[in-house]
This record gives sequence, C-alpha cells and structure tokens, in this order.
Amino acid sequence: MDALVPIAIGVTFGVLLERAGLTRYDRIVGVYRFTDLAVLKFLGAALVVGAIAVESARGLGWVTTLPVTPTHVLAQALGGILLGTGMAAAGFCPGTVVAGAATGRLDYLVPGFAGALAGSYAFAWTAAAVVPATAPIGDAGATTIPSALGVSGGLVVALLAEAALVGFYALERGVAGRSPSAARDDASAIPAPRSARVGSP
Amino acid sequence: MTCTGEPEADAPVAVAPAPAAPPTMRPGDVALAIAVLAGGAGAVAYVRANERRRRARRLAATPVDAVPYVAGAGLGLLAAVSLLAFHHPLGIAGGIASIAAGTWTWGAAIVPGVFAGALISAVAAGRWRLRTIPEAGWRERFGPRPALRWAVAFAGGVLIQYGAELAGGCTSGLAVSGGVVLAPGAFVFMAAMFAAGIPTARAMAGRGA
Repeated sequence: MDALVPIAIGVTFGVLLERAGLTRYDRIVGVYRFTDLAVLKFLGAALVVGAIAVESARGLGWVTTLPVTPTHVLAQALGGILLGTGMAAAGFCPGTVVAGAATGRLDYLVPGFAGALAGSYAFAWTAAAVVPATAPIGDAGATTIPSALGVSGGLVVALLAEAALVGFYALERGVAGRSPSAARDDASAIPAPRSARVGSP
Repeated sequence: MTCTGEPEADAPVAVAPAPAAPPTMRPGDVALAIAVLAGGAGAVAYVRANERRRRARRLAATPVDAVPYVAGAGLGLLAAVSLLAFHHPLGIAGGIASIAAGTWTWGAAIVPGVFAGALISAVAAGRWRLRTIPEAGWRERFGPRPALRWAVAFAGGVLIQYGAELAGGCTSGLAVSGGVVLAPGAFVFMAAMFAAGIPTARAMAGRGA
C-alpha cells in the first residue's frame, strides 16, 4: 500500500511528460534555442498552479506543516549550471530520461540512464569534499520568498501568477507572431512522425 | 523516286478495307481504350484517394501534443498533492540516486512509475517506436550515426544527475516542488539552468541554425 502511492504519482507524472511531448530531444533543446517554448510554458504553468494550490491549502487551514526545500545559493547555482548544460546537450533531464526511455528511445535507456547512474556514483564519491565546500555559501535554510521579505504568501503568489499570465500572453502574441518557429510547438507533432517514418528504415 | 506516287496508288486500297472492318472494330477499340484508360485512371485515383484518406486517418490517430499549459497545470497540482498530502517533493533525481545506491525509498518508487506512465501513454497514443537517435533535431546537425549521440547522451546523463544531486533536486524535484512553496533556491536553480543551457544549445546548434 505504501509503495502504491509513489508509483501512482510516478505513473501520472510519466503520462503528463509523454503527453506534453517532453520525451523528445528537439522539444527540450528548443527551449534553450527559443525555437520551441513548450518547456517554459509547462514549467510556468506548473509553478503558478502548484503555488496557488499550496497557498490555498495553507490559507484554508488544510495544512499546517509544509516541507520547504532548503536554499543553498551556491550549490543550487552550480547544480543548475551542470544540469542546464547536460539538458541542453543531451535533450533530457532526470525525469524525461526515464519517460523517454519508456517510449522506445534506446539512447535514453542505455547511455542516458547509465550516465545518470554514473553521475550519481560520481556525486557519492565527491560529496564528502564538494558538499562542505559549497553548501554553507548562501545557505538560507528552509526559507520562502514571502517569509524572507516579510510579506504574505498570497501576495507573492498573486504577483507570480500575474507575471506568468503577462508572460504567457506575450509568448502567445508577440513571440509567436514574430517568428514562425516559435509558434511551432503545437503543430510540431504532425511532421515529426512522418519524417521519422521516412528516416528510420 | 516513286515515293510520292505510291501512297496515292495504295491509298484507295488501304482505305477501302478499312471502312469495311473498322466501322465495327473502331468504336469498340476506342470504347475499350477509353474504358481501360478511365478504369486505370479511376483505379489510380481511388488508390491515391484511399492512401490520402488513410494517411489523414493515421495522422489524426497520432495525437498532437497536449497543450503545455494544461500538462504543466497537471504537474503543478501533482507536485502540490505530493507535498501537501505525502510530504515528499515530486522528484526523479533522488529516486535515481536511491537506485544507484541500491536502496528502496519513496523516490525510488517514483522512477518505475514514471517509466510505466510514459510507456502506457506512448503505446496508447501510437507514439512508441524503437529508436537509437532522436527523430528530429539531431540527424540534421550531427548525422545519422548513433555513436556521437550515445556519447553525448552519456555525458549529459552524468551532468544532469550530478547537478541535480549537488543542487538537491532536479527540474521537478527542485524547480517545481521548491517553486510551488516559493523557496528562493528553486528560482536560483532555474536561472542557472537557463544561463548555462542557452549558450550550450547555441554552441551545439552552430549558432546560425
């Protein structure tokens, strides 16, 4: 029973990643080249909807404690640089390498997953030296933006949602209107299977 | 020398039997030819139309990607439920680390779940296909040989996992799960991801592309 909950959460997660087309190399790399901004829209929507859900649950008194991710500015900046480099080069992140492997991609399943395991071993070997050197720098602990600024969570969520909506509007109107490649994200699934059929004998 | 005269002399002979037999044969021939041509053209048109219809149906059966906003909203709700109801961030990198270490944790159970979910979704949508390199975006720049792709995939795998473990979470476990509780580190992480990813993608694309 205890194992069923995370597996069910994982299944839902996997369906969402696959349905959004995030198991495709070109779609992940596209966000870094500004040719396909689906990843940005996906992450932005996830942040806004999730933040509203968390803030609502807290406001309604449904939850009293919340696991807040600790902030370590240096470690998270360095980790983000490594992950961003690998993601832009290989076209996957830890979630999409697993989801992509499940859709028949041997480059995700074999070298991609093996690389992730190797990265995990490498971190385990070096953690004793790397973590004490990086974690204390910019260590803010389990803080949140509203508590650090001394404002209400609702205000920050409202501002985040507003900024995201303005950003989404700009993406759909401005960027998509200016360059045809930016508007591709909804149509790219149609030519993709065809070229794959021709190209894979 | 008699070339000009001969046809004229033969012409009546040639013409004379022609009206005798062809009046019955010629309309039949023409009709037959027309029938064969029409039938052939019809068959070609039918096959073509059928092919077009079948291709249209096949394309329609291959679902277009979900609207990213909708799928993203689903992920946001899922991350909120995971945090609020079960007190676990929705992450993958932690699970991969558990698998590498040979331990069975909450996070490790997410990994086979994601695999199963993506497998079910891809098979149901008709998008499951065995491939050794990506179907789009790779071959055009780096050629069809899998060796380079597999080397880059391995190196990328090392970087994403090492980076995620150093930061304390991946795109979902830190950027989304930390972002929804408004942890500043999540936004630092996302900014760093893009700051490094944009020049990397530019360099690999050869800038102009």
